[in-house]
Amino acid sequence: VKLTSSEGTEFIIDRKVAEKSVLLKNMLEDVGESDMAIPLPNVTGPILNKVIDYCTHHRDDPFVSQEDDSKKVSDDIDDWDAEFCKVDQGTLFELILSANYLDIKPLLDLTCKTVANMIKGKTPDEIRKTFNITNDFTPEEEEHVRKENEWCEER
Amino acid sequence: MIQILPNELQIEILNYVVIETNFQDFCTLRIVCKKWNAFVPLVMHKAVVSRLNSGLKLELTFWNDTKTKKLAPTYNDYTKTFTFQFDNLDDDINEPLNDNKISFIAFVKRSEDVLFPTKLGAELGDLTFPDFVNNDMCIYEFDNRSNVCFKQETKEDEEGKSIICVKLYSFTIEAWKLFYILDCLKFDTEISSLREGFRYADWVDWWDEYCKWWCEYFYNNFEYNTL
Repeated sequence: VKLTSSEGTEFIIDRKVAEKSVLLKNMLEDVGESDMAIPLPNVTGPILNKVIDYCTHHRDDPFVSQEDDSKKVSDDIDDWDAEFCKVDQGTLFELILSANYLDIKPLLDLTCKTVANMIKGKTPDEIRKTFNITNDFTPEEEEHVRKENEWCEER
Repeated sequence: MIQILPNELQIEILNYVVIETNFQDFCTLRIVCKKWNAFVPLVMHKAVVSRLNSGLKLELTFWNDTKTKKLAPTYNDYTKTFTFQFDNLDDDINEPLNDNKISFIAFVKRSEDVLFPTKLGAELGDLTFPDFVNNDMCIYEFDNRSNVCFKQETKEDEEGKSIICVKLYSFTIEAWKLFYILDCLKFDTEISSLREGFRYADWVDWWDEYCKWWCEYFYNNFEYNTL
């Protein structure tokens, strides 16, 4: 299967690897055998490369379909996946966007869990700093929200 | 940087955070920014429904009567309350023989994936049997936000006579109280650390639950011919 990234870089991968993406699987089923490259305008070359790495490593994993909250624990990330996610924040968020666009649920779960782990245990201020989030509350608004959450402070 | 993600993906990430964070800590994420202030209640509501659906039940103990039902509450972020609607509950509430006030306790029971079921309740206040004066609804306000509502209905008995029966209609609890109960059950808060107004079920209740649990466990796990 040929894929083309947003800059026009071409990637050739096994069909089994491509089918880890529900989007590509459906496309391939619709189109049938073809030499035409599938354009992926929302995915850059370096990110597509990472996604292919992930799908190749997990090519034999069983298909995950159901959303099950009980399985959403963040501690069950294996060593390979943990190493895979050791990237800068920009790449991590690009991976989340690509996993969502390509509909690769296990990759989306993994990347979201990784970000969730970066949030857990941090104060709002630390979270803003970590993710460069602008505090768009006025001091009065922030005070109002804090007041509503007062029960959280009384330990 | 995280804000390059669309709303649904930011919410998805928060869904992972809430699973392993207590509601008290999670609630503080509302202060991060305006978007998260809107996302956090949505995520918390989903988590409450999920925790209640995975083996947690609400019990309202009053007049020696217990109403138990798996319920999905609705959340009102303006009043910061959860409301459980009981309008499909068939059981009537029997009028007690005396007019004594009873202590109204809302229990949540944890029964899934634990050795012993545990119940934790919020003591909401005292009330007497509902007195319907001008209409068929009677509301008891416990505090500024929690309340319980009873409904009076007329139905026919087996002989075709009209009889009046009383049903539990709805129960509203301050959100933080339900969050607190669910947190304590999930993270095994010790009795000595509980806030005032909350308590685990009595030992007698606990023993009763324990026996029931064993009977169920025995029934579900051992076939006759294996004994």
